[in-house]
Amino acid sequence: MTREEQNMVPLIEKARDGDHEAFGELYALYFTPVYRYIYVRVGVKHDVDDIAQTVFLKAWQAMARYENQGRPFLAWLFTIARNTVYDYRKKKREVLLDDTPIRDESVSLSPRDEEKELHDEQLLLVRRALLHLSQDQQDVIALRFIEGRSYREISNLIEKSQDAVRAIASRGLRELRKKIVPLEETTLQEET
Amino acid sequence: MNYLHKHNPIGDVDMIRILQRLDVGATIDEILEDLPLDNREEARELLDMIVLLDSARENIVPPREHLAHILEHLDDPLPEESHVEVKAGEQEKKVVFSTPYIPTVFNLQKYFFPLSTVAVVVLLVVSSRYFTSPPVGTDAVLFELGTGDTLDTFPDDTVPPAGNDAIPNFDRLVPEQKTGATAPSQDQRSTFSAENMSTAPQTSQKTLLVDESFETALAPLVKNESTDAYGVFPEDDFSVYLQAVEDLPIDNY
Repeated sequence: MTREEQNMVPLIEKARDGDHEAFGELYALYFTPVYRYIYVRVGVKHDVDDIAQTVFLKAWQAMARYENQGRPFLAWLFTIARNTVYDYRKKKREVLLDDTPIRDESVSLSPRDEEKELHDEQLLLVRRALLHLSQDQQDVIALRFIEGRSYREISNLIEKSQDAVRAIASRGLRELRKKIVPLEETTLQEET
Repeated sequence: MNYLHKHNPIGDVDMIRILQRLDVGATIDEILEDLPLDNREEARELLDMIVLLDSARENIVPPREHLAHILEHLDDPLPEESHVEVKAGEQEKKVVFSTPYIPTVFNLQKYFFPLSTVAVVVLLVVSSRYFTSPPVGTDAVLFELGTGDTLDTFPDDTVPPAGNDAIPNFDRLVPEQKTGATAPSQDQRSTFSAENMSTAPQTSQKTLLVDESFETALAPLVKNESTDAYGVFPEDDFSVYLQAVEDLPIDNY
């Protein structure tokens, strides 16, 4: 556990004792990473919002049973988020990403807009492909390359050695590239 | 100087080196320049992907208005919370997975138990090859599925349960002992031997810890040592059997 996480212990203990304010502070600290974690796996903004709320409500409900086992508190939140996303997927069956910017096709785009549109499309492809990776690969790629966390932090969060995290990142990236190719072809076919 | 000597495709070690260079501040062009020509296109695509992922961060802007709402509802009961009990034996099922798909916790929980079940189950993995040749990685394992090992997003929709044939007598595989039990019973071994299997398989029991990857635990059971394929028999199917061995309350966290 890092020094920063150790400093969190009193706050976590207060929240565990039912202190709303302490839980609010935890929320403020951890909402963004949890939200991004869900976003990568769900992608439909409205649903991401709902799931993120549910995760924190579940966390609150489970706080009394939370035990500090030396793992980062965020890892516990990620577990709840993962399970909540799973519940969501069971209901939805198909994961749809709705964040393609909607633009009026009749309006001609400036080069800058076209560039942005291409970027958005590529990003959407990457995110679609990401959903087909293993859980470990999704976790590591999202935490390292989207969240920008260090390998050391990720190692603590997912309880694997830094070498293992690097290996997962390496394999995950190459896997991601492989998954993108057929998605690109499908997209091209749909456009023609 | 080229630090990569191997040509296409980029392997694990090479990729890790590329990531390390990126971590110490090398630019994409610098990294590419050091690569053999054959690897540059692939490396360029991988590095572009990293840049793209990095740019995703600014697209993900969490809403801030939720806190007040959440704080208002902190003491509400969760509508979807339910306490279900898995009855010993009642959840017995079989699923056949076709390679290259490895049954992950995600797959298994989808087919066998509700989410987040902290369940003591018996898992038996049987390769179809098992029936025509000496056993390759067949095993029976007592697992405790912890909440830390719940999901995997392997493409579950492409892993349909297949037909059901030549199922060993599962009832006889269920050990009497509960979580944390040690060696497999002689009955278990006898059961395996009795199922038209040419050689008694390796049999073991294991409690899967909350922080342990289920796939890691499962991999040796189905790993074909002759290939580097992770937990997969090439050109093979394998079956997974699970059964709860004791009544289990489902408690999510």
